[in-house]
Amino acid sequence: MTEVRVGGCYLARSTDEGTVEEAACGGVVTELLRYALREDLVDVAVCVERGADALDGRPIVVDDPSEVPSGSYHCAPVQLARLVAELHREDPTLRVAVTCRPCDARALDRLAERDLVNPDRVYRIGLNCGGTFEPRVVLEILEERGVDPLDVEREEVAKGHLIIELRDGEEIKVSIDDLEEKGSGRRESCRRCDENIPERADLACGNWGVPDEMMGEWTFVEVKTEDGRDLLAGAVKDGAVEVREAPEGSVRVREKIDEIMRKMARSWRERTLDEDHLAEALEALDRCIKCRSCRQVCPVCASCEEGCWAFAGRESVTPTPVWHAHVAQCVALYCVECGACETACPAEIPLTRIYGVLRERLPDLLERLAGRAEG
Amino acid sequence: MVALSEVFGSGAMTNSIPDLAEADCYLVAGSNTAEQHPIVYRRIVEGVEDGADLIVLDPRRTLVAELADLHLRVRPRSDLVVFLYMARVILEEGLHDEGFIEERTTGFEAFAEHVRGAVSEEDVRRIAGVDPEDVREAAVRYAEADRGCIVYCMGLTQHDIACRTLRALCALALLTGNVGRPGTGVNPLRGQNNVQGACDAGALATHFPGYRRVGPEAAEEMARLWGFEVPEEPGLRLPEAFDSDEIAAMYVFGENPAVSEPNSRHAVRKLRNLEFLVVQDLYLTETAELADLVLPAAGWAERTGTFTATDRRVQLSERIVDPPGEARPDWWILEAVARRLGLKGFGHRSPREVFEEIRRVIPQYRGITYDRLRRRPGGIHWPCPSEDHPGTPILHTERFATEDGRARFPRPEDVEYREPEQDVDEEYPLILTTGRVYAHYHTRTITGRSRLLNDEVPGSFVEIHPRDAERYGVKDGEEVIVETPYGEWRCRARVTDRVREGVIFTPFHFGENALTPPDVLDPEAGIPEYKRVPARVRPAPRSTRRG
Repeated sequence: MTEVRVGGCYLARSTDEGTVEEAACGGVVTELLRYALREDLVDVAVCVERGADALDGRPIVVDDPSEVPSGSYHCAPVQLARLVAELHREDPTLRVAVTCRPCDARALDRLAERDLVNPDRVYRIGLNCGGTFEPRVVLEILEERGVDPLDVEREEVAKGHLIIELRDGEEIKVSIDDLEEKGSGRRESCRRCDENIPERADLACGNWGVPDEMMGEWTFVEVKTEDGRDLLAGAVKDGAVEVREAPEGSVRVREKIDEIMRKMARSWRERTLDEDHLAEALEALDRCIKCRSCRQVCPVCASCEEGCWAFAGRESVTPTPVWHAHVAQCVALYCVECGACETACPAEIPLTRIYGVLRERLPDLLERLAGRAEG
Repeated sequence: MVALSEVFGSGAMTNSIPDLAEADCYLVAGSNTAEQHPIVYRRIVEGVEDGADLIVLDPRRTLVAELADLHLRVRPRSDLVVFLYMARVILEEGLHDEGFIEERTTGFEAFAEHVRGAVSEEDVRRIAGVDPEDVREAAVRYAEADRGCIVYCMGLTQHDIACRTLRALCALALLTGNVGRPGTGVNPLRGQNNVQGACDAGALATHFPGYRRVGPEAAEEMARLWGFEVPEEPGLRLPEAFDSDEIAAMYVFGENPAVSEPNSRHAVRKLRNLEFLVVQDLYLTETAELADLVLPAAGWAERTGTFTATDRRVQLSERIVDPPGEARPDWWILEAVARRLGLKGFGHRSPREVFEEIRRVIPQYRGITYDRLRRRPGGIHWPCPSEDHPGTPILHTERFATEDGRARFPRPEDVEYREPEQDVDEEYPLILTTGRVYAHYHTRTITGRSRLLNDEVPGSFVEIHPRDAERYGVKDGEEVIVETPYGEWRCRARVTDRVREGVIFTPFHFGENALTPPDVLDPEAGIPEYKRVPARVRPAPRSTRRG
């Protein structure tokens, strides 16, 4: 039997054929959540279930293993970290297993720093992520082809393509590069994100590196921590999951994909986080109507009780400029670049760009200030 | 709605929200779009950022007015004069679209002849209080644009000459051929998520579902569709009902007339004197407190149904959670009441069955089904005549919804300006106009229960121009008494040049309808005059209230 080690890479899948059939690639994540609930390792699992259609994901909390859903949701950019914070506000001892993309994991860290999440009580089942799409973008793709969203069986991102599988077995395959050349494609903050494999998770699961002949039926799992090891090893011992050592070639392919994606992200970052783009973005702040959506969806900010609204001014639909300045510098310190604020903004202000530039430039700026003080 | 139906054959927004971004020139009249319709505002800003002109008519310098190339700071209730003068300029300058007028309209000659002499420069100055040159520029910019888009709201409709004003406004679109294409049209913005749907379904005293005007012919058709007799005479419009001694019972739902009706003292007196008052609501509103019977209704997340948005977009909203306690969806309660009353035509068992009837009865909805709506998260725009019809985001692209397919220029006598019954005078020298603020919905039934929103705008105020403030001894932040011939109201003064001199503004969320007249209505639409009331202001005597 394969030994599961911290730092080890494996190909894994659920031993349940039904789960493999219905899940994205091997059903390992689904099976681990079920196993953790069944064996009372956790009290609840926090994950995403299918909403109105296959493109719609709904965050849920489940305590019954049979209710753990499966599927992948690249078109439903929901944040789960906050849900964990809400659970821990009620009961800080609640044991939680949560599926997390890199930005969810970063948000959990920020929340843990503020004692809003109890990290000792959280299993993080990491999901590799090459970026997500606004539902609108995908709906447009379907509309162009005259496809009803209800006819979508599932969606997947693989090898630079968004693949939409229809109920009748047909597939729509769209090149993400092509989309992005036309100004569509992944969400702005995702395009800039250079963490594809969640570094701060217990396990990192995904389809990168899975050999072609096993694609869709196996998951590539990297064990990041002891907790991750124990969970996976336990599930294997229990017979819920089968694993085999990932071949050298698989590991290399995965590294290569990660490297390419990160390089693309960094170049997009450089292109969009410059001062011209900042000027344009700052101008867009004039459109703010103080609807507060950006702060309400922020996974980190939402639980904060600092009361920055006091700066926003009352009895005026536009906030005071000092409020934007305050939020920008506060957010720049802890922003996890999940892009939730930008998605929520009805005035379509490129918020992540503003926070991004500040984040990139703030250390530099502070250094310059410090230099001046010393000089 | 009355005027729009008359001119175009359909009383709804001609275009859809997304295509508004494609305009080259916006004429925004009586709409505080940034605060009240932020989603529409975003599309306007998008257009402006792409180089479109923006003309705003408003007595107040609102956020959208600040963005405008041209802000016509008109006196309340003078928009008709401005529109007639604009029409005159368009004709004088030869900027009208002859091809469009010839092919797609009737009644142009009479209208044109009337307009040439109807309004003088002096009228523009005297009545509207703006420079005729500015109005001329507005007319030229709107007429010269390839895609001119009109957006309006309650600043135009809550007047006793609303129908006349709107006819003239529609005529501007006809003169310039600005109907039936993306980024054009005449677009009334509806305040709530389903005002459009309620009107479509016949929640009007004068119309059956599908905008069939109440009368013998329509009544016969409805009786055929429904299988029971329906009245041939129109019912009372809301302010009329509040004035009528015949009305002994009321069944109120989704409305809080104790606060929202013009002249609330008058309205409350009526509510108190009723023999029987039923209120069906989520909350114990001011009206519900006067009720004999309160029926707890479910909220939006607790029930399934459709909403029809301002741009005729029908969207399905499905229940997420069960209603608390004894609360039930409105349709369920109405069914239960109807059953006990033994009424014919009820007996629906689900929202879907209710919608099936809507489809059967309202021709515009015929092709819309729950199944289709589930497949179209963005909704379907009516008219949608059949199940294979994609819906109609833009109305009147080829023909108008009138009998002959042509739009009708208004008759001269239907666009005549009429002086207000009660004008400003020495006793009441100011004009009071009312409106919403961004943080609240009408009577604060929902928003007043939100701490954040209450903190934003916690109480009533009156905006007054610095010169008027000086004249009447009013200081910023201090308590004042606002008086009209109909009532008085105590609130805090906001001294600001956002309002024009001679005009004061209060919200209508906190009870300010104490000040509005109960009996000044548009004779055609029945809409009350909320936005032009003679008034005066004085500092409040030192408060005698303790601490």
